[in-house]
Amino acid sequence: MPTLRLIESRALTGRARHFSFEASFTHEAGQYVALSAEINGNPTRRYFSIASPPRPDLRVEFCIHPAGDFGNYLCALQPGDEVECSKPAGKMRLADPGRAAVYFAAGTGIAPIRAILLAQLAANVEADATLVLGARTADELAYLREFDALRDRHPRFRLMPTVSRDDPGWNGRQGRVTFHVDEATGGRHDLDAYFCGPPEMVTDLRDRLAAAGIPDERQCFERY
Amino acid sequence: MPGRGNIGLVVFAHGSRVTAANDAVRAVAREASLRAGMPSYRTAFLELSAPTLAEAVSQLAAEGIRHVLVTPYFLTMGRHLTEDLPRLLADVRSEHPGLTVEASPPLDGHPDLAGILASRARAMLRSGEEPPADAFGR
Repeated sequence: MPTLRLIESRALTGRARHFSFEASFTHEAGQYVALSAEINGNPTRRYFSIASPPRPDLRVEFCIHPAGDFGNYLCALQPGDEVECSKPAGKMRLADPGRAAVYFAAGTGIAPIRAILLAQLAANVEADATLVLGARTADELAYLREFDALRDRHPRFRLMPTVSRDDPGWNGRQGRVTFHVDEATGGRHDLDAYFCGPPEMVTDLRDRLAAAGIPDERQCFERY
Repeated sequence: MPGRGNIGLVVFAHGSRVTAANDAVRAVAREASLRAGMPSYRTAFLELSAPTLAEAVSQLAAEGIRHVLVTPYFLTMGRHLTEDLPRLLADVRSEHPGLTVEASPPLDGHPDLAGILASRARAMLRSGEEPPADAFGR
């Protein structure tokens, strides 16, 4: 079984943590792996989407809400520590970097979305891409600064952050990501849609995107 | 009062022929906008770089912004802020009559400025380095 070697981990938001590992395998943007460890004497596996596109140095990144015993285990890892890891799997893929795309992510659902979006922008500087990034509060918007900085290099990349709870310090869009489908698609039917989040969000998005004229075959999604 | 999601920020700076200087302003604008909880923002320049204030406001208006806050990245209330900025604001208000466009004072007068200077001075002591003899432009 492959292993991952921790390079670094850091707090990403009030809830999520960013992990960077050295891998011994290649993957495709959008795939996930299972991490394994013995927790309190019990073999335990948890599935996590890889949050980074393929890199020449085989580094893989994760955006994880470290809950429970497995989360505590991951948080306690020190640089150089190794974790057992399955081969990458999963059906989420970048369909075509040349096609206009709209991305929706809530919470740590940003992981595969970040991987695919960064892969698209790396393949196509002029990619026509919109990201609707959602969280409960502003300080839980993962990678907000990183995504905002992408606008400098990718003039057709549009970032639409939104928060679902009333946050007096936030002056941006409000509501769940599903509320912003019409603005994000702008009435276009020629978009690929990528989304990841809780099951109810995914179900709602599928309906709203279909109603907005984005057919099933152009929708690529994963629930967590 | 527009909804909170309809507020946009423009950080308005002079502009430079030095690309790195303009990029530094953009980096400060990004951090300021996110700290202010205003993700719809632009950096605009009086000259020597793009976009202009009018272009930045038009871009925000196209995103559905109805209330634009302009914060000048200028230290003092010099000619650019007493003459140029009011003229530019009048132009954008005329072009976008449905928008509310407001501008804040320059950085001068903000209570944190003295603290920033004090921090810079203390940092030189901490690093153990004497200021070079030509540090004051003599």
